[in-house]
Amino acid sequence: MFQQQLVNHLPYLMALDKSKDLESIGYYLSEHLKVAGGYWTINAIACLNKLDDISQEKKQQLSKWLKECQNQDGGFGGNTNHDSHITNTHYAILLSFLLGCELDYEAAAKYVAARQRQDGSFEGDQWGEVDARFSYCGLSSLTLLNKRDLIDVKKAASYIKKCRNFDGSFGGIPDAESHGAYVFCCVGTLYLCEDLSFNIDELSMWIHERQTSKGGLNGRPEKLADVCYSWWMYSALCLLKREQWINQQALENYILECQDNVGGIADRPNNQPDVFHTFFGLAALSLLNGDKYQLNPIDPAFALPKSILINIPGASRFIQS
Amino acid sequence: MHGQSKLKAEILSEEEIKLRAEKGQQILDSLDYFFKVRKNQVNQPEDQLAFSELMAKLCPEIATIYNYRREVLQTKFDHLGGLLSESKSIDIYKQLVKLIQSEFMLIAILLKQHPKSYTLWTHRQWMVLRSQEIDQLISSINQENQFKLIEAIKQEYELCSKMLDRDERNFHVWNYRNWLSSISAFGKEDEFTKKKIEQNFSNFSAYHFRSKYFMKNYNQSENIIERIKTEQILGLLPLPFERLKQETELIQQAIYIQPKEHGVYLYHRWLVGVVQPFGVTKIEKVQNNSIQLQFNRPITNVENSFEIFNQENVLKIINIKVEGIRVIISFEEQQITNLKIKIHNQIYENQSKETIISEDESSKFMVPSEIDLTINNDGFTYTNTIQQEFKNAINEIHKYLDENIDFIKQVIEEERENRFPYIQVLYLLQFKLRTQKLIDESKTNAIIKEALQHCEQLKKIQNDHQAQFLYEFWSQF
Repeated sequence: MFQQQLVNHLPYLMALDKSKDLESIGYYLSEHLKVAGGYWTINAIACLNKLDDISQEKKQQLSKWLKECQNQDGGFGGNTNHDSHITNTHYAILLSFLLGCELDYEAAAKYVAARQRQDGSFEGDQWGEVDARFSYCGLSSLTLLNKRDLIDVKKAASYIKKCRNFDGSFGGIPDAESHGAYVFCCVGTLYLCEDLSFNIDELSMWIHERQTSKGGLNGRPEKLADVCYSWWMYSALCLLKREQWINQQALENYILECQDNVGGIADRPNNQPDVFHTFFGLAALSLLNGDKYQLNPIDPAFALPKSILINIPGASRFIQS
Repeated sequence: MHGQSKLKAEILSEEEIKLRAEKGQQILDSLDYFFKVRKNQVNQPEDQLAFSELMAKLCPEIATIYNYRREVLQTKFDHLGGLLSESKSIDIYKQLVKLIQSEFMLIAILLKQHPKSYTLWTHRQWMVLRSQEIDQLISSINQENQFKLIEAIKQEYELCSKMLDRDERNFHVWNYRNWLSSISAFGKEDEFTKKKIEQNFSNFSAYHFRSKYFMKNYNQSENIIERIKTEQILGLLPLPFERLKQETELIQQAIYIQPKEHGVYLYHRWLVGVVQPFGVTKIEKVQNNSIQLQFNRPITNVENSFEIFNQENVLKIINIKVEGIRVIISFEEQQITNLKIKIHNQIYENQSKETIISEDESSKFMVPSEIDLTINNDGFTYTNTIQQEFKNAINEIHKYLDENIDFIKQVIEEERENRFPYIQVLYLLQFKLRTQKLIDESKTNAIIKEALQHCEQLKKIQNDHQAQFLYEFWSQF
């Protein structure tokens, strides 16, 4: 079924907090993803220009809950009582801007900065896992909070450069295979480090080769297309000013085809929608053709609506015009 | 979240919905209790390991559960380790080994259901490090060799093999295996990657790690310096030339057998591309305080390569700016009439480790040359002279490139409707164009013409964005 129109995804999104998704045990098992889920949901609603549809009461309720997710160490867990992690700390900061509430940013910034290691990389938490996702969370969080001076930005960039592969693209750690989602993390980090001195054409060519015959992008050679890569890689192309290197119309059509006609967007056509893919599909569409679908453009570096970013002093010099 | 088919969505009866809601509530209640335990708001369960195991099996994705479990494990390791040091008791030793092995077993069971869980792989990595520490402790008290070391790494390689048999592209497993290789000497990467490729020619993950293996094994400073002694200039290549040719033959066979797979072309592209030399092809601008040079391909790490003389006087270089294929060298402002620019290959000239600073795999093959530049009324003229030795080496490389281009053209003959060989020949022609620019600029037009012909062919068989894009790309020359 070919969808030419943007389905109204608002009812789907608004119903997410009420439904316990009784048909699936997944809801209960994703209890640790509530902060992330909150960010994807509210951001998607913001992308649809409907933030005001959420009542003040609801926003206050969410803000209160979000504050309770902050731990003694300054970091945030994925829900109340969960141990801190840099990814959830980052999601919490982003969500707080969307809700218009304030967190203890000072403590959060200290937690994030403490995650940087000697070689410039970032760990997820005190248990030591290292990954480019965490570098991105680190740079984005501290830039938004205007606390870049707490880390070594140059070293952060040099670590990411070690994640570059022969095919011109990036993996999650040095030696790892190139992967579409890590392209977002690495390019985003390098962009925020103000150091894009790598072979941009080579990477753009690699991204170009990710577009499948149906228009969607896959994450690696021989893999299936997935709507979330529309965001991960198209946003990177926007930062690198190479948007023309893929067929934008075909990508747009693919995202539309991934819509569920009742609401929500899935990873690929005819699959079950979920909030994660709904957000990334809408965010990518906002970059591809925001005006046509009346979508609030999501900034490719920070993955927040530009309308919110302009009020964040730390972000101003990085906002893509 | 990924790959959830709508067609599979069940239609549940009210009874089933009620049961699921109850089960869900049980999970939430258990988590509630877990967090109270975590925060010491209630007494610790008598068997903390059994409790956290239950929780891990109930909610395998919740990182906090494993954080708690690691704290409990560490306490036990410290306690048993201390006892073992003192007593050298075989009973304590057995307890310690059992504790470690059952943890590896538990994680393996959970990985079967959740093979792509970052949480589980991080926990397993932590366990390997702890078991290594305990092996060190055992070694320190093992004067009579009464205790067998745990040596977990061997079994970890087996786990990786099994998991890659189930999903050969699981990057968590590949990364884990790569990490094991970095902390031990066990992994036979050459054999293993070859085996995976033979099982499936399109296993791009295997090609990726094979390429990393080659770089680690042949492209270190020591290797290059050794090779220069026997192969001279070709020693600068990241792989010994003969090895490269052998490997190229293997991938050519793979392409021949399975020309419709994508991965084979990507690996072939890497191999052939790895030989690309680079050097100055043009002087773009000359001013009284700077010159702008053009290289045949984008470059990095060339800052130590230049010497400039203005009528016999050495110029002090103030700054070197590299932008893709362009290099801008700034010097003290002065009257320029005659410039001599010497471009050095420091590695070849000095053959010392210190000069090899770059991690860029191809950056070592800089072609040294001497440029003689004269300013006249209309602007400037110059000659660019490459050493004969390097010219001969480039010709060798050219032969290798041509052989591979011919091979792909044969594939095109057999596979007229397959876009992969067309795209491949375009990449190879790009490599050839770059090399040709170093030897003889006048012959580059023929290459561009040929490439555009292939673009036309590609458009005929697949008139999509990729064909259009490549056509426009080549048209810009």
